[in-house]
Amino acid sequence: MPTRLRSDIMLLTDFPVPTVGVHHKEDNTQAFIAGNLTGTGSIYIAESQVTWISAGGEGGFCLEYPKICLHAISRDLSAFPHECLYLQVEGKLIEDDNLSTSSSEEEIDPPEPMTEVRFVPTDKGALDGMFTALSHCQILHPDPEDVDYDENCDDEFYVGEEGEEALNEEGQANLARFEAMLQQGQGDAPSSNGHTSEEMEPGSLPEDQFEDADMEQ
Amino acid sequence: MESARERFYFANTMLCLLKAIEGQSTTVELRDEKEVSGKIIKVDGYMNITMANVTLKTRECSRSFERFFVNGRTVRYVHIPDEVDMRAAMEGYLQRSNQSAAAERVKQDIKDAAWHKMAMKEKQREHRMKKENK
Repeated sequence: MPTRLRSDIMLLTDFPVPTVGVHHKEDNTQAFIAGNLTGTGSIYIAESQVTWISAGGEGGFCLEYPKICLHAISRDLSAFPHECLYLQVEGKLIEDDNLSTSSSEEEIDPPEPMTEVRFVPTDKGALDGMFTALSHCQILHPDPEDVDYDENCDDEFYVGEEGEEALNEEGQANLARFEAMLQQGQGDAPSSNGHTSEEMEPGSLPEDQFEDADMEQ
Repeated sequence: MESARERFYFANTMLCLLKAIEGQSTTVELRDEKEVSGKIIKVDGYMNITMANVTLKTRECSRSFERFFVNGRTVRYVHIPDEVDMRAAMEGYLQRSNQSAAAERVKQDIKDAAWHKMAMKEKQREHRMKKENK
């Protein structure tokens, strides 16, 4: 029985083969949606989405990462007759009437419908690579609704009191040494006459001469 | 490699606690009332959890998976093993990650101080030259 796919989400016809950011391509891969064999074709695990296209190119579907709740490698043949890459995808990917035959064994809750998608490559050794590629691509798509994060708020990190106490002993010793060097002026090029600002005649400098320097203290 | 964004979440949310239980076996409860039990391999800054040798329990059945990746959005609860001292785990993690941050900060402070000193000297020199020209 051919599976009728919900066209608004995922039915692909006349679909270009993904070429950009493809982390893994696996030919000779069967796709099962909600337990039903959709066909044999190629899976493309790319940075922007997962695409499966049937061998003849007459059909396919694509899954967006935010919709993929989990993915896993299943080698438990009692659960499914083939070793596979197992995905749970948010939403119903198939029309309800098609689901009626299998809904009794599928765990689809009305509030959060979920669809199981399985990819069965002929080469079972490819499963690990497929899993890893999917993991890498998934983390490129963080939750858009996540708590707000400001790219420029690095300073907001919780880093203890001043940060210094987090240094190990050697680091603390180095810090003390560098600070002493700065205080004593070691490591500087010899100044022309050894004068420091304190020795300058008072009043000879405009008030704002070192304003910017003072601000850094 | 963690992005600045991930480090931000680790440092500012309870996520650092999950980082502390990497390598341990526990149960993760998912949003749709499923439960996954197995070894936590890795937790990233978006609470995506990679696990190994897991059992996925639904109301109807349980299945096993060799490798497992849960999207952070799907995670509802993570069971923290009883033997984990949560406070110590979080502090330990933050301390370790702060060491490198503190070292960077000190390096920057020293650089800034050196620049500051050089700028002062330059100004003094200019000032002296002006005075001499007078």
